[in-house]
Amino acid sequence: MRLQLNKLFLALSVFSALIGLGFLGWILITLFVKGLASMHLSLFLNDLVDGGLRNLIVGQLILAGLAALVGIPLGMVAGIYIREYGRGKYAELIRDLSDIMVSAPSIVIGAFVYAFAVAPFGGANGFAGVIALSIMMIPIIINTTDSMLSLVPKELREAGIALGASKYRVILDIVIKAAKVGIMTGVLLAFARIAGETAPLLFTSETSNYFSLDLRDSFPSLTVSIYNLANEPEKSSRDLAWAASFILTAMVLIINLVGRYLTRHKK
Amino acid sequence: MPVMNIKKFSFTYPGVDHPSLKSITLPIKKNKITALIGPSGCGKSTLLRSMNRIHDLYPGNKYDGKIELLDLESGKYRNILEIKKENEFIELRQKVGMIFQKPTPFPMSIFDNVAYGLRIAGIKNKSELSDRVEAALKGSALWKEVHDRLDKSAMGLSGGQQQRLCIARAVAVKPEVLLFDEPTSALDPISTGAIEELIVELKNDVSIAIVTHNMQQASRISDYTAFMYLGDLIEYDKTENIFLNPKEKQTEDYITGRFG
Amino acid sequence: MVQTFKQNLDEVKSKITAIGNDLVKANELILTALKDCNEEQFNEARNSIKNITSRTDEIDNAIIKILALYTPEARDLRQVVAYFKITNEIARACSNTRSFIRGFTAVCKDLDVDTINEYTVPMQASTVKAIATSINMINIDDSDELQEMYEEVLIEESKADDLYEMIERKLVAQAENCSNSFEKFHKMLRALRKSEKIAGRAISVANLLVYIKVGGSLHN
Repeated sequence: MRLQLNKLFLALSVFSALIGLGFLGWILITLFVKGLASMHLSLFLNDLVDGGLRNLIVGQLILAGLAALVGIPLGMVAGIYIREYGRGKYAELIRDLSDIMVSAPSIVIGAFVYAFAVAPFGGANGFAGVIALSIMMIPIIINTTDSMLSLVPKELREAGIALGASKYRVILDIVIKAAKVGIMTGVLLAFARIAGETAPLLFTSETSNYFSLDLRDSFPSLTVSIYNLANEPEKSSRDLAWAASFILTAMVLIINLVGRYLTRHKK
Repeated sequence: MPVMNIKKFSFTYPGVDHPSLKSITLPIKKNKITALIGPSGCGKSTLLRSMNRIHDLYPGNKYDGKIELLDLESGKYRNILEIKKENEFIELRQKVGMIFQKPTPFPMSIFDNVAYGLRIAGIKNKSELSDRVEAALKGSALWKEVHDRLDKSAMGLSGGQQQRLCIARAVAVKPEVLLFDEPTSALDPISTGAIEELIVELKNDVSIAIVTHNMQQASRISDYTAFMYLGDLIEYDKTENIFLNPKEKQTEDYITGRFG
Repeated sequence: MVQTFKQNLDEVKSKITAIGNDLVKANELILTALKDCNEEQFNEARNSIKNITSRTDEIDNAIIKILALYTPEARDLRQVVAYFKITNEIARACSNTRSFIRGFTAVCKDLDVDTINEYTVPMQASTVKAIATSINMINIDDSDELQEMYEEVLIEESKADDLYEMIERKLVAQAENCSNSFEKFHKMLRALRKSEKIAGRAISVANLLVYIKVGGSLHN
């Protein structure tokens, strides 16, 4: 009887997994097929105004890159603070807030940034987009930094202290080095995550059809443009949207794979 | 003269209302090995970790009594429980080193591991560092195995080698006292034997206190043994007396395996 | 094992060898003293093993300490336990030696030395050979050599045994002819019996030393 129950549950589990995987597979295959069909070299050479994706790809990377420049140091330092220096309740509070922020609806973050970085300044601008992406990135990095540091055994810290090192030396020389790989992976994954976000940019930096490096104005974004293109009636726009989606997925996938490769290599 | 005098020392962990150590009085004799034995929870590790004030990493502890460390230069005793300043803590820990149960190599090269304490102490001269690292590794019976790969990561060593590395690291700063917290319980019997031989040799240069839950280890290598139970010091004597003619029934029951 | 275990064990081993050698020396002195009932030499022999008790106590306590501190196993354990028993055997052999000296010197002047010496001298010679060999075995490690020496001890003990029987017969015959010396003959035999026991002790010692190397179970 128990054997049959086992088999039943096994079958149900496999079935559920197949459903999930099935949809994933369907998405990927559709993306692949539709995306590849619309791919051609000119997409990388022309800007949107000319039917290409160049400015959008570059723009997205710039936005994500700048957000990383702001978010990574802030997130890491905060993460190190709450794990290594935080006193009980205070550190717990920051940790909980960070947790909440990780799951905060990205559109809400976008709206919030609109209120203080877009409206008062007369319109969409790249800075607001960077700010919105950073706000998304920081809690993720705080979380991963915090958990990676928590994995470092307390004996390692004690061993450093026992040799006469001061607390900050122990953290710098030993703890961070020990958690280095995990922290870096967390950073890369956070980067991959925000590189593919749309909602935070929707109201903040919006997008642009032209190649631009000027953050004071609306800034080209691959994700926002996919949204726009998909809503346009022309087939050419939708085909372009498929190609853009394919490239975006590829970008995120590559960043993820790089992260995994680095971890496997070190351990 | 004992190198350390523990006098009526009591210790309470933060947030706990009963003390983990109750009025312990115990000497740590110079150039001898003193073993702390007793069942789990008796306070032996707590006592050991008080000797280099490593509890102070976690604030909120309460203590009573004195732990006096002999200053070799002046011949006077200093109560280490009074230490509050950062630089005094550092000085204490350079005099009283500690080796942990789990081998804790730092994520750096073998050389940098052993040199770590020396660099903290301000030694920068390359040749001096090199000499002292070599001496420490030789003193820990590790030199032959690693002398040709000092720049390789310490994480590549085996468990027994890592523990000997930790010993070399602690010995490099030339401490007066070495505290061993169950140094071989995570190791295989052959590595355990090698480390025991090492500890016995080390007592020529340092005074040693070792916590062990392995009674045979205590009887094999220690000169003096302290038996503890539920935070009290039940008996302290020369090891051969403890294992041959214990005075307290509790001691005898523990030694013969009738409890704990 | 830690160095100190080996050091302690070696110390015990050399102490046992020392009392063993003193036992052998005493019996060698007896061998020369037998020829002309030399009281001076008998006294020398007795004195050389006078303080055996305190020395065996020292060895016993050292062994107990080793057991308590080092909890030896396998061959180490057999070695420590064997040494414990060997110490006792040597102590008893010394006691036998002293009894023999006491008994023999009381009556040797009165009896026919030549007849006795025909048998007692070779008997004592065999006894000496037996104990000397068994004591030498303490410091031998090779099992073949140990086995060889063990056989030698057996042979010498057997010789001593036979010689004792012959003395017994001879003395009884002599006593029958000379009834007023019966008590003296009896005393003489008792003394010689003690000497014969010494060879028996040598077998026990040799047996124990083989046990260390070979293992198995103890048997007396």
